[in-house]
Amino acid sequence: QRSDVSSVYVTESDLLRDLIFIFQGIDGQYIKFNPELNDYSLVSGISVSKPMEEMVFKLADIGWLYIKIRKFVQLNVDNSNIGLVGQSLCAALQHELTEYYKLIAILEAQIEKQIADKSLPNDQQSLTLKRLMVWTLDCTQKLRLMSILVDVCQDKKGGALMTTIHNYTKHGDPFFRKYLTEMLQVVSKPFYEMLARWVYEGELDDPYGEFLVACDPTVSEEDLWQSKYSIRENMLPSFLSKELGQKIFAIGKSLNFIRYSCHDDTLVEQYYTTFNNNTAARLTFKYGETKAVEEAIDIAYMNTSKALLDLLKTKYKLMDHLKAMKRYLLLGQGDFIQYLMDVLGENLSKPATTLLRHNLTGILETAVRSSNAQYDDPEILNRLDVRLLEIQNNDLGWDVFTLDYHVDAPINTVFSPVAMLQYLQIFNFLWRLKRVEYTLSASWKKWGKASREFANVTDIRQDLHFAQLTIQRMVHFIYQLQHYVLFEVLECSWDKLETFIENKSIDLDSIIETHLNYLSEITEKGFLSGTKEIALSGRLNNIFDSILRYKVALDHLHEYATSESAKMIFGKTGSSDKISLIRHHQQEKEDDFTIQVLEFLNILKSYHDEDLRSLSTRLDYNDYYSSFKITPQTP
Amino acid sequence: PTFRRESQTHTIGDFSPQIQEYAIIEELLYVLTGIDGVYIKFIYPKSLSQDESMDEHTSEITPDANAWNAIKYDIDPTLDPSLKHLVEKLLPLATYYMSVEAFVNLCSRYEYGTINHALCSGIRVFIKEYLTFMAQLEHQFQTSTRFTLQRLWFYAQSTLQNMKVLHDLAMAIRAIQIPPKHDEEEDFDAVIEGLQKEEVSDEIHIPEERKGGAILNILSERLIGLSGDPNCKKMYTYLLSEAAVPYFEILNAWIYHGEIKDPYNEFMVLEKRNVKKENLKEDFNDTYWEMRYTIREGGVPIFLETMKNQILLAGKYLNVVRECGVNIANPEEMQNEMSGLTQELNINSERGNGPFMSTRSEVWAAVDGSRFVKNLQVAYKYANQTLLNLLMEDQQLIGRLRSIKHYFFLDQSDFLTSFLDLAKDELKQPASKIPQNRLQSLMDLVLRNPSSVAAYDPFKEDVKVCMSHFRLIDQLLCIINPSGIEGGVKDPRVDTFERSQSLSSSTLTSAIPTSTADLSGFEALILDYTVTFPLSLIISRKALTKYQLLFRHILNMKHVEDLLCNAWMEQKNVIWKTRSRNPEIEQWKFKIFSLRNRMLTFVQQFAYYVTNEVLEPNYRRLETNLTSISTVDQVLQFHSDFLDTCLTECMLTNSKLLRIFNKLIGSCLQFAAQAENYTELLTHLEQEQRIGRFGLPNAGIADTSSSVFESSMRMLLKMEEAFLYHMSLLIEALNYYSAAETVQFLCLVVRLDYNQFYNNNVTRPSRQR
Repeated sequence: QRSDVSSVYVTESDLLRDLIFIFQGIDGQYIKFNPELNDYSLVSGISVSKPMEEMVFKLADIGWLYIKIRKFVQLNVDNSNIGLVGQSLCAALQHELTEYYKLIAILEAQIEKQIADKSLPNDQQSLTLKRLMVWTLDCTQKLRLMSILVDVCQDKKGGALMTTIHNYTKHGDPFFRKYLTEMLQVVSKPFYEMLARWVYEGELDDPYGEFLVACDPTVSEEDLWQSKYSIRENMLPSFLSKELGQKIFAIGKSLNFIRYSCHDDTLVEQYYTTFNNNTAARLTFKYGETKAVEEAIDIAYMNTSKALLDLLKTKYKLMDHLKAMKRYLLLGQGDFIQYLMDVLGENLSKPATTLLRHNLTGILETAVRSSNAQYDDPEILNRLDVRLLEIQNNDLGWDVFTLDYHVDAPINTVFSPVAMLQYLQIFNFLWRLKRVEYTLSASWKKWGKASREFANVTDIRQDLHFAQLTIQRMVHFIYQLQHYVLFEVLECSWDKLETFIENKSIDLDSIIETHLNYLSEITEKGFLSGTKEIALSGRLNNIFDSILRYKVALDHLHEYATSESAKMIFGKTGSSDKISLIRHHQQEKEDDFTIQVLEFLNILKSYHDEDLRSLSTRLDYNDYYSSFKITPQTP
Repeated sequence: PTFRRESQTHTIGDFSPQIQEYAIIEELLYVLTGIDGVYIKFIYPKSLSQDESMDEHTSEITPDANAWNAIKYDIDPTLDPSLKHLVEKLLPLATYYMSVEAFVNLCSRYEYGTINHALCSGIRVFIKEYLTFMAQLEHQFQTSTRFTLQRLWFYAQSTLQNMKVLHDLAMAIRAIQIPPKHDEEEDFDAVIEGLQKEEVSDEIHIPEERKGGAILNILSERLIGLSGDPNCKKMYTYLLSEAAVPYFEILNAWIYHGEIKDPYNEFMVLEKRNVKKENLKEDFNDTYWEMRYTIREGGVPIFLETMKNQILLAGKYLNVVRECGVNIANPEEMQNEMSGLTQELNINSERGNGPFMSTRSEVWAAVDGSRFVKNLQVAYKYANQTLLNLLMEDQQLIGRLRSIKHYFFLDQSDFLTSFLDLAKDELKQPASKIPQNRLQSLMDLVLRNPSSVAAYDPFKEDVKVCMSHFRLIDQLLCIINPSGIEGGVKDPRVDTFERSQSLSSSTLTSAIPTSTADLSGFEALILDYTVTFPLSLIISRKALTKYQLLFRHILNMKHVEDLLCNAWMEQKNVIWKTRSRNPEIEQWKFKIFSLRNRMLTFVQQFAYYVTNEVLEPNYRRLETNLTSISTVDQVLQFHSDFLDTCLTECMLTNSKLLRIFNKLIGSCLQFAAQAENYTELLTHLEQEQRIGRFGLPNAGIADTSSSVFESSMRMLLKMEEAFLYHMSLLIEALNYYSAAETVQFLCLVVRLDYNQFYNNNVTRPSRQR
């Protein structure tokens, strides 16, 4: 109202004009931005009434907010690091600012008019500071929200950025919520586009690493399923659940697997055509439609998983391979294994160094041809092969021989190297068990004959009897063990696996997992891994060894008996030294066996395991071993 | 800004009144928008100016809620006095504006919750109106020369009113007293919650009295309390309808989806995330159902008060359904599905007209119309129905209960007989020495035996054998004593709570082994049953414990009966049958026979009573009840009632009866233990007799064995006496309690004393020594 001598009086309309500039981030004539205070201040030397000044400062806030937002947009619009979602945020902000410019343009026109017609100050439309305040109320709020976004979205991208904005939509004010939701809808567009492409085509268009799935391009196709893709936890927007994220991940991965490992494009083609005809489906992928998205993802998930499983089961004969593994590597095909053992027996008893792989392959071929295995699918038989393990000193053929089964892509996703190693381990164990059984039954036959053969050698009659008893005990032990392994371990686990794959399997991951469980269950229950391995597998090996050693001792006895009976014919008597030595050996081996079995049983009983309970009961079913106290020296 | 104040040497009084008025109106227009003028200045009270200057991080709105009313204005003293008075009349408007504006700015911060936000957005509309009004005044002021202070005062009337209403509301919300926190409870929860997510600590915590339901409460209270003024009523109606929107969003998510989307803790239902369903199996107190979701007492809006339980249950049921992986229908589908039940709905709709009438009130009209009540009914019905279906059909509750009845109440107990036969040797040993897995494998064997009835039970795999650590009677007394069940019927909730407490405390006391050492296998044997999630809501650990108690009770009797029967078998021997020459021996034999018979009758009748007159009818009742239930809580109620009735009627909840019963069973056991000796003694005696016949003509008993005989006779008499004494005591007590507790005991009395034997024989229970 009053002006001082030293200061210029500034009218309200001058200030208004200045403010319009300020609103656009430009310093006005009287109001200037003061970078030190990070705020606006009036230039010195002018006189403005105190209330008006305060009003001006209130209004100048808008300019401050605007500068902040514009700076952000300018900084980031060409910055490629901000990512697609960031870019769309910038675009959205830019769009909002355009709206804002429109408002300012209107205001400015108003002011220009007012200044021009100074003569008519009392126009209805005249603008004053207070009016300006009312005019800009809404836009101040918008700008404030934008500036919040600008603050929190700094250095964030992709899903994380969306999560951040989403958190701010949890406001009770309908205006806030609507504004932010609309903003987020725009901002999230690139993300949802990526999602749609990933879910329906398996393609990842994600140059800035914003999507919740990460791809490692260096991984070869062989390991596509296992390690090519991974989930970026932090890029999963918080409004999508973790399970959904997992599903999204699985869908794209499966699609990729179908396309690149199984070379099958029908599903994607199908999606492609349906979406070209029907754009509505693609539109469901947007922010705010969480439920629709979930449903769409669920459907896609079911479709893709089903397609993949069908493909594996039919085209790639997953079940056939599993069965083949069980038949050949887990000795399910009895006649084949028996024949193989019969034919190989001779060869394998020789030192390992003398074995030749091609010979063995030939024998394998023979075994296949002469057993029911010959009716098997040639594709499967072709995969069957012989492999020799690394030879160590004094290894016999038995120790290094294994069967092998070749797997290739894409089946090798299920039969991973880890799984194959477990198969190998199980095969070795079973093979060894089989070998012991084979040896024992041979001995049983031999000694059945021997008891008649050497009936005339009176002083070893008792030895013969003892030998038969001991063999019988060993046979019992081995049979029970075999029964346990074959029926209670292999078959039970197999049943679980089969029912799961046939009925309950949802996706490839679940199959892989179940298969691995199947193998580890077998190895664990078969004392090949886990805690029981440490305690039991060594014992079991010792038992096998002692049986084999006992067989050697028996061979000595047999030799002796043969020579004795030969001598009998000539009427000579043998040296008692030799027989006592043999007896001593035999006794020693037998004791060894008994001790080992007792210890084995002891450990077995210490486990409170349902499966092992019946094994230990059966091994010791008439309390024969229980009658031995801790001192088994006197059986 | 360098504004040269000192230049302002003039005072307003220097001008002419017209100029003064002009100046003061211009000034007022600023002051009314909260800006300090030249002649009129704000004087903030201290607390307020602090609040203004300090900032975001003081969560308290003001320490002194009245601060806003204490704002004063410093008016240039030279102003014309009449103008000054007019100005003073107008100035409260500035106060109101400032106060409301400050309120809006504060409460639209995130931590104040969505209800406050929505309320603020409602208020903001008025503020905008106010500012527009100011702009209009200014315009008037600039254009019309005849604009005077009087005129301003006249124009401002309605705005003044509106702003006052808003200001009063803001003051009311500010004035909310926050009760001092109960440190223990809150802290406990806070610690648990805090363990899970620590980032909470740096957030500002707004007490729940100041947000959510409490705000709605204030609004609706004021709406009703101030509804005399139509303008005021209109405003409150508007504000309430705005503010209730977010609340109803949460509410709908809860009743339609069973989810709580409540980031600011405003909702009336509180979810405790640390209570997990997985705990249900181990936890003795089945807290999941009770504790996972609770009503936040302060947070219930008054208009929802009457249906808060329904709301809680609707959501809770749906939650369970969802956790079981069943899809929940859309609200529309619910509507359709339930439309068939609308008839029923109307009948059922909330006992009486109370809530229905209240929903016609202004408050309801403001928040939602009365649609919500209907929706809630539908949702509640749906939730109920779905969960019931889940329990009854998918989870086969009745089948489960039947199966449990097989195993715990032995209604088809061929498995138990063969199990006891098989495991006889093991069970005779002390409990600590019995290998449990052997028992388990025997049990498996028995259950899987195709000739057993149990083989056709689909749930037989769930039965487990285990060993209790303490005697049945000790456990029961433990349960009875601390909880005072006999102390009359209390509020059922309190009662169950206490009982659950005591059940858990009984596990605690198990740590003190009072009689563990000599617990035999028969005494310690209990069954266990694996229950999976949704069913474990009903068959909780607590319920299972009750089943186990009953099982042990029955097993105990079965065992004693078995022993007595064995004694009987033994006494059917020739040596017992042939008449002895010695009358004394004959008399002794007779005594043994009669005592054994009494005991056997007692045990058998008792077992009959327990199984056929208590368990069976009660179970029948439960099953019929279960076929006609409509809510899940009813199921829970029926089931726990069933168990409690069974326990009571089996005398397991009355310490006196329990003690007497225990004595009786004890003497039976003692007798059974003696019975083996009797045969031995008899053989011995008879032999001596025979020897006597051939040797000396000795008609009596040899001296050596006579003393043994004597003592045995004495023992026998003592046992008989004790038995009779306790028996009549029991009958008397039963008679007494049948009046006080349950009439069912009368049946037992009749059974035990069907020919009035005890009544006639021992009229007074006095121990004759």
